[in-house]
Amino acid sequence: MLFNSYTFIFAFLPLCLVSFYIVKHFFGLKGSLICLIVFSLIFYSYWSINYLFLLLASVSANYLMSSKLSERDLNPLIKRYLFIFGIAFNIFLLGIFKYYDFFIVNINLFTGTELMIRNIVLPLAISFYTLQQITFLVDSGQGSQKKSTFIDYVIFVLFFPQLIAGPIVRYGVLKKQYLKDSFIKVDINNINLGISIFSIGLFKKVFLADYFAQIASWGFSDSIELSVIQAWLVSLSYVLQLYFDFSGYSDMAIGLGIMFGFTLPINFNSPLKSSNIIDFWNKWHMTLTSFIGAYLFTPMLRASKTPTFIKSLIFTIISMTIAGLWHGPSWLFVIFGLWHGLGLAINQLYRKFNFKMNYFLGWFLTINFWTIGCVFFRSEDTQTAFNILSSMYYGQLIIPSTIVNNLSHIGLGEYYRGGSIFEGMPVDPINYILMFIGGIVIIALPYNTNFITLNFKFSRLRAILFGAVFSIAILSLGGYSEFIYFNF
Amino acid sequence: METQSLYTQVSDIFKQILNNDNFELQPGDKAGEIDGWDSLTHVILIDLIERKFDLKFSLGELEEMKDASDLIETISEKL
Repeated sequence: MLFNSYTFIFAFLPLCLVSFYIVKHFFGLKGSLICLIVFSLIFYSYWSINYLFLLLASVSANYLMSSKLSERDLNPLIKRYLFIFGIAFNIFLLGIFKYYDFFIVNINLFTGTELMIRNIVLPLAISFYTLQQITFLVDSGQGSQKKSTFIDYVIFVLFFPQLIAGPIVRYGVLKKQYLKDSFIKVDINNINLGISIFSIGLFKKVFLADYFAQIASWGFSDSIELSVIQAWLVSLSYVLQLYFDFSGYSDMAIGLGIMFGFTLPINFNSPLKSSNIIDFWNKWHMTLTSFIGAYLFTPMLRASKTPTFIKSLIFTIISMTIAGLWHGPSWLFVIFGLWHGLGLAINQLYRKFNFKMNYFLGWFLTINFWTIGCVFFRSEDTQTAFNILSSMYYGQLIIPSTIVNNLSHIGLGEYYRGGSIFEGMPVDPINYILMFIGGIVIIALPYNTNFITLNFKFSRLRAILFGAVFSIAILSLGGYSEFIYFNF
Repeated sequence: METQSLYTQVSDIFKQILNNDNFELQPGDKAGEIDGWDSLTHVILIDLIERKFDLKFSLGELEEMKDASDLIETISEKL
């Protein structure tokens, strides 16, 4: 079920909220958690009942292994093997359901064999719920996670606002919140704030991201030869689409969490204002960055016995490449990860030598760097990615035909052609210019969703404002439009 | 162990790693915001803290440490 659908907004969510608060009132905390679990299962099953069994199998197996691992008197040898088995089990599930065909295609490519691919449909949310469960398993194995009850564990994994695409939540963070006395009370402020934050996210997704998606889809199709400006408009449109889509999703998830009394971790903090790539990754998909730092980079560096600067650069590149591949079974994601690993390493190098850069120059370079990465992230194949990059930096200029006729005698025809930069675009040029400027203004605003969340005070004026945002979003709801990160 | 004493002892480790004798760890200090406290220094600091206090941090605990006060709190809980 999509957050940006009539079914979710007008049927599932109200029913779930009302049931949750009624059950909480009459049956207390445990009942309300079970109620949330049941609704989370319905939410997931709406997409595919078959993969619900995979989800339940993964949750049950991980719970059993984690519980065993957290036993204090467990034989160290058994603990060690169970720990390795648990990690391998999760990677195996991901490997089979997400990377199997990718491996087979590459084996066939490099060895000349003709092994059959299985065309396996990616189970929704598998990357996220696997990642979250690995953190729990590792913490249990390392002794910092006490045994949990099955209900606590299941709500940690299945809580529907964060189930599909994060934010990646830690068990303790969630549990601490519902153990507070205040959780049991109905807080109308939470409902108001949650609806407001959800509305902002919905607006970002359906009004902005889905609009820019039209230009990105058009430009990233392989049959079009783009001019310099068109290539930049297309790639920047994708940058805007990706940002509004994923940060919109995260806002909706956080807003939904608040409605139920949970504070999910923030996932975005105005990353497109960053003036270097280290800062960017500290503000983009923050819960993933945190996971990469803690569960990939740190253990690799610590395992190297004597951590050195060079090793830290190498492990940064390796961690980011793995994180790139985590996004999907494609060499383009590997390139995306490697690109960012190299960028972070270069950034660390110039920090090491105290090299300072003007904010605007740094921001300009960061946006360029991110946009190039996004071209790999979005393209269907490497050829398309290189075509677009080549157009961005070496493409023809498009100038009005009348000027072309007057310039024809100069003999620089290979550098320009006559026409309009909007030719072929599936949107109205004036609308596009206004939307593009609007998108940039929203990104540049000093107040982001985190600020609004922290400083929220209910007033009539704000109610009207958020009501308007919600109404525009509802009126913009079109057909079926998945979130980009649902595919990862 | 008292929190203030922990701050003093951990500050000594920071002084050594950051090569800054005047450094005093404050509760809101964060990696990345203090000159020289980057991802590499963080790992070295953690190793030294573990050795000094004879304790072991799990990866989850390291992830949850968002600032110096989290670090001190985690050490305090483990002692």
